[in-house]
Amino acid sequence: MTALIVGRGLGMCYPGSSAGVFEALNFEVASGEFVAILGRSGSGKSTLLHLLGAMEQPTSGSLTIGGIKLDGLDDIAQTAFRRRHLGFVFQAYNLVPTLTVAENLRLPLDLNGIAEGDSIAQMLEALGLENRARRYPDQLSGGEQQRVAIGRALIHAPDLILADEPTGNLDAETSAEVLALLQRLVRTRRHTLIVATHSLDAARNADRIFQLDHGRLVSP
Amino acid sequence: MLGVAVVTAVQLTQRSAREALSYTERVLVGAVTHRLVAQDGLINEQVFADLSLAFPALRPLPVLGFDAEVPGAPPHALRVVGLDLINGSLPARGAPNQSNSLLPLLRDPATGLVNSKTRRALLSNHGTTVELQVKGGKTKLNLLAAPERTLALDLPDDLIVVDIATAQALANQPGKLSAIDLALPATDRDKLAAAIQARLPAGLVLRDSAADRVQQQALTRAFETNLTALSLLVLVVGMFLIYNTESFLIVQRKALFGGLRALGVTRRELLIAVLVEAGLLGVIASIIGVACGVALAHALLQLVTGTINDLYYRVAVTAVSLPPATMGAIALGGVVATLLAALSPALEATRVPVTDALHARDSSLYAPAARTWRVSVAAALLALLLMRLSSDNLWIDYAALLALMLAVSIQIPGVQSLVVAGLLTRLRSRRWWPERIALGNLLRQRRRVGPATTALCVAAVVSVGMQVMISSFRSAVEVWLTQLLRADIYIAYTDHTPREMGESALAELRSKLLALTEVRAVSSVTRLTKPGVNGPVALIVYDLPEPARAGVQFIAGRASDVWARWETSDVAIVTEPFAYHNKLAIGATVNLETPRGPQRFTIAGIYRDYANERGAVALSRPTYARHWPPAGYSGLGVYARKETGIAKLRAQVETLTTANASLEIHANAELRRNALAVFDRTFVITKTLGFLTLGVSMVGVVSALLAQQLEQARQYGTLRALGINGYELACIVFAQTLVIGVVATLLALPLGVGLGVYLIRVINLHSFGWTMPATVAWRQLGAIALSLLGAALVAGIYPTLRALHTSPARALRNE
Amino acid sequence: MNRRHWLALAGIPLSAWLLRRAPTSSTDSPITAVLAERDLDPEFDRARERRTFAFPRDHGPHPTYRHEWWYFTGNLGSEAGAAFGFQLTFFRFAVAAQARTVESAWSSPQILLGHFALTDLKAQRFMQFERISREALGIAGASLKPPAVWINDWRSALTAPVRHGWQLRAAEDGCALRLDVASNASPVLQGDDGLSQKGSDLGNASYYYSVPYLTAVGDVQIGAVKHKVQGRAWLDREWGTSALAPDQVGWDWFGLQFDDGSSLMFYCLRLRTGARDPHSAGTWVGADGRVHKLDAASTKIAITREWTSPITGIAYPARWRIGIASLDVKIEVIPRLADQEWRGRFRYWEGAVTVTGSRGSSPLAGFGYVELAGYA
Repeated sequence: MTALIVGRGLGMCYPGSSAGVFEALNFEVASGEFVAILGRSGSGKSTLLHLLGAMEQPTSGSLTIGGIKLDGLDDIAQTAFRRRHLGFVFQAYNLVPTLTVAENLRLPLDLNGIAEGDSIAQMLEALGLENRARRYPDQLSGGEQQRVAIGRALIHAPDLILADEPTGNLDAETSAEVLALLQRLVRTRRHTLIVATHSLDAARNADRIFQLDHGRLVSP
Repeated sequence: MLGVAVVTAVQLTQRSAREALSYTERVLVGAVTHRLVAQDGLINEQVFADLSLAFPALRPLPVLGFDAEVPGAPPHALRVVGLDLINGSLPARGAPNQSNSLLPLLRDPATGLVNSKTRRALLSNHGTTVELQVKGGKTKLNLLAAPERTLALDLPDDLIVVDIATAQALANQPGKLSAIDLALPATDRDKLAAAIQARLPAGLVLRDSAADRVQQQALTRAFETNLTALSLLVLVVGMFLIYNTESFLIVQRKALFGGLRALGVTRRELLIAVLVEAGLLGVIASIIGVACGVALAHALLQLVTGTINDLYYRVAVTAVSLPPATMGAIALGGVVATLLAALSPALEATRVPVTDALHARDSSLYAPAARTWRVSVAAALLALLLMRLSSDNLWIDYAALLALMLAVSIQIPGVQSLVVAGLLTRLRSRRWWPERIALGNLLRQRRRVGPATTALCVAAVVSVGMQVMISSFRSAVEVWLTQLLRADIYIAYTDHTPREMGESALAELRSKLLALTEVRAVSSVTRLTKPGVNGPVALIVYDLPEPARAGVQFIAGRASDVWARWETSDVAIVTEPFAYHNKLAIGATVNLETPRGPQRFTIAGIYRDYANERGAVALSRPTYARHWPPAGYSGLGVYARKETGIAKLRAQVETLTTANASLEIHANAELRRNALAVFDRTFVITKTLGFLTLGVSMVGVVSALLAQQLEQARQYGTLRALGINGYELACIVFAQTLVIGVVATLLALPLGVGLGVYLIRVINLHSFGWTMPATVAWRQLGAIALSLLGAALVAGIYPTLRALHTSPARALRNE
Repeated sequence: MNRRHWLALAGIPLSAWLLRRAPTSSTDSPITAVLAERDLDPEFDRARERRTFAFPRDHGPHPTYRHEWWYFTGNLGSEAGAAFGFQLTFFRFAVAAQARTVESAWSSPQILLGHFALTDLKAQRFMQFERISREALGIAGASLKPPAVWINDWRSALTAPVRHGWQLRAAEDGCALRLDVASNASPVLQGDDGLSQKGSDLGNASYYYSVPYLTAVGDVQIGAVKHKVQGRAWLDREWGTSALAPDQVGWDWFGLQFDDGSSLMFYCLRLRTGARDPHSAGTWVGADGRVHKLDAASTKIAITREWTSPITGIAYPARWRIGIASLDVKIEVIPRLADQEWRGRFRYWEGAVTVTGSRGSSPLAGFGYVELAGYA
């Protein structure tokens, strides 16, 4: 399998703090892999995810996703990259509260100029939320909202799905359901999935586990 | 704060102007009950001697007041008042040495007394002498400072007190007085007044000072009421602002409140805490507001006294008077308004479910809108009831207006939602995704956006309404003037020249003019005051030759009927305000006091007149001559023959009048222009208030959008993460602003026109008594609409720029 | 001697005190300032040397001097038993020696001040009225031909020059006085042939004459009741330009008319120390017209009673015993009404008195007026 993500000497430190978050990370992620990034809170896993998500620029090193160099991109290019190639699942769901479920799912399609077709209906079915299409996020439970978020992350067939503590706000039972759904959908559509978490349960089914400890990647 | 500032400014300005009006010549207070004046000009001092000797117990006080100015750029306008200082015309207080200051005025023919502020202003460099320009020429006057605290009355600014002999010499009016003040004892006062009046030669009138003061104040009362009401409107708009701001502050701290409640803080304690905070803010803002208001008042005072100067008579601009009580009351009002407006958000804060805070959620944000239609109906019914009740009471009129505005404005957010929902159903296609996000935000966040839209809309309605009223009024005045001013050239006395009864430069001029071949006709007007049943009546005596008659626009009564009887019977025509205020119709009679006793005049016509809101009665000169001794002229109108060029006529007239410096000549177009300029100046204040209101509401829109942004920081971060770049995000925010602006504008136009009609048909009518057609100048409305839209867009600039620079990582960092 | 001058002077602290008590506004006139001045316009004429008096001319005004007065007082009675005292005084003050050079009927520097008082002894009432006016438009003034002085309808005019006869008219607020007074005797020149020195400086003097015994006939009206009256009147006339001596604080003036036709005038100047100023002086005019000059040493005046005004709180002497050794006169002077106090712009006590006593072995009785100034 080809390497989708290549990180070389990736370093990130914030101005004003003496110690970097991490420095000189080297890793590769193959296409279709499910990677879990483990680490305690504050270890920098969210930051690494932000870098992978083209939301921040690394202070040193290079990062390439799908052959596209991310470091050195300006904001417009980063945004365009995110739009096409990435899907996000957040701990706090972050659905657009003023849009319905169906509209939330539609958003990435509209952004990418993809015709709607059946994709939304199909996705709703896959998520098990057929009769929630017209509801607003504040009318759904946490689990349902996260499912919609997952649908939103996948609906435009991105190259990479990034999930930041996707089960952080959910109870154990719902967590398991959501995780199972995520992995199933990713596998059937052959997307690459990177999950940042501190929960071993979430990381259990990963192909590989990266551990971030004191700014260093262990067992890449 | 802005609202408080404006209310403060208006109140202080009005009070100062009012005091300026009553101070200017009335240095005496308390004891004076009546004032004797000549209807046209000055009083011969022999009248004073005669009165003194005929009524030895009376102790009349002579007054000679006249205008002067200190030449310069710009010239400094002053009033000089000559009093009999021997007789104690200046009420004194306390200290024994106060009369020392009056001695130099008695000894030195060129010494005057001023207050220290004026003295400082006039004697800028050095020395004690100031050069004055008076009617007689230039003269020098030594200025002494009035001793502080020793006169019972502080001398007002720009007033010079001199001895009566000095005044007569300075004004070049030996043997003349401008007024005689009397203090009639309370017993048998009316009998004595009648006896005095009977003794007076023709043309002199004994005026009751108290009634006069009341009259003067009635002049500006309508003016004042309107200003006050408009300023209160600004305060109301400001209250919307406060509501917004308070909501904003509460939104920011939802988590805190929820946390506090989770810790066990009771609802009541939280409510009190929030209200106290709001109250403190209110106090600070009110204090700043009052300070700003004072500054604004200084500016407005110039405008107001300019208007009064134009419309009524010369007034020396005094300082803004700062009664602590008024300012305190307004500040208090500001605090109360703050608390009222903060009440709802404060209650909301207490109702934040604890869970919301813990989960960083705002479940109230998307709550369905309250049932507002009930309030609307109730308010509308109240408004209708009030309108039924109101006969003439301006306050009831404004209350009805307020109720109506309440009824309507409560529905505005609902209307906006309807519009937005409608738009949403139309914008289905894919490429409208930013707009759909924007509309979705507007639709679902009524609690935040609603008040801002309403405030903008209300301010817009007020602006449009005032504009409609002003432009209708102006075009009515213009039409009226055009029709009224038919003469080619007008001649009148310049303002500062008092006129003499009998001897009249205009009378001579008139006969000369009639002799010219270029002149077709000469009309004349004389303005007098005569005692009527309910007090003095403004009487106009007209000489209206054929070409002038078409200028009188009758609202009631047929012109042909009127002119048939005009000179031969005892008929009068009255102005519209006169008929309105006195509830008179055609056929009713007006009673006027003539030297031979009261006389009735039948009203044959009611005509349009915007010049005098007190109203006036007009008689033909022959009719007048039947009952009174001949009167002088106030002004002449000259009608040229068709073939004559105006320039030639004017040259002729000028040669006839050059000798007389007291006459002014105006061409028809010039006069109309000047009158309209005065009109425009008068309404500058109203327009300014309109802009201020708009400004206040713009601030509201900005704050609402910013509040919204704060709440939606997470949403924007998400959108950015999803791949929406800064520009697209800015488009979303901009679209929101645009929709708010468009909805407000579209609503404001018809509502504003409605308000304008109400102002014309109800407020204007009840205030002044005149009617005018409501004309809507579409071009002007279009301009207003554009500026409203522009205002909304400008308000959206800052939030849009902020959205532009949203960084996704930072927005999402709180995970 | 210039007692009116002192009056004026005393008026300043008096009026200051008055104003202190009444801090609310009162109309005030620069007249008090005029009178308080020390630096007088050098253009005023001053009483420096003796002059020849000519009548009736000198009954008229002398406008080149700063101040002047016509002081009429008297005791009147009606057949019905009513008894009155009256005072009608016209003061003339000049604000400046020259009229201002302006064209105005109001530019005269002369100010007229009138004091009119009636003591109704039956009703035990003292009524006082004041008027002030500038000399303008004929409303108030002092004329020479015929000699007259008036403020509106208050007027005293010389109508019978030969008999030094005046017509007095005054009315205010329900009280009216109409009196004709005349005298057979010539005016008495006080001081040194009419030059009355009041202080040691040259020019600190005035010209002073009296017509001490005038018969009066006329009527007094109080409210609706008119009383036909007759009695005696006294005219004091003085004019001058002078400043005051700093150690003098007031005076007591007596003008007494006896039934036998004689009269006594004495002014007692009081010093700040409480002692009597040696400039105090007076005259005794016998029934035959002979004039005896009196001085401080020859005339003893003792105060035997005091009266305190319940309204102003000022204490005045209220009974005197006067003895003139050289004339063998012993008399007691008793106010006919205790409260005859002036409480206006100026404060002084001026009231009708009765006199009883003896001269030599014959009894002496009569009426008069006493003025007490400088007691505030």
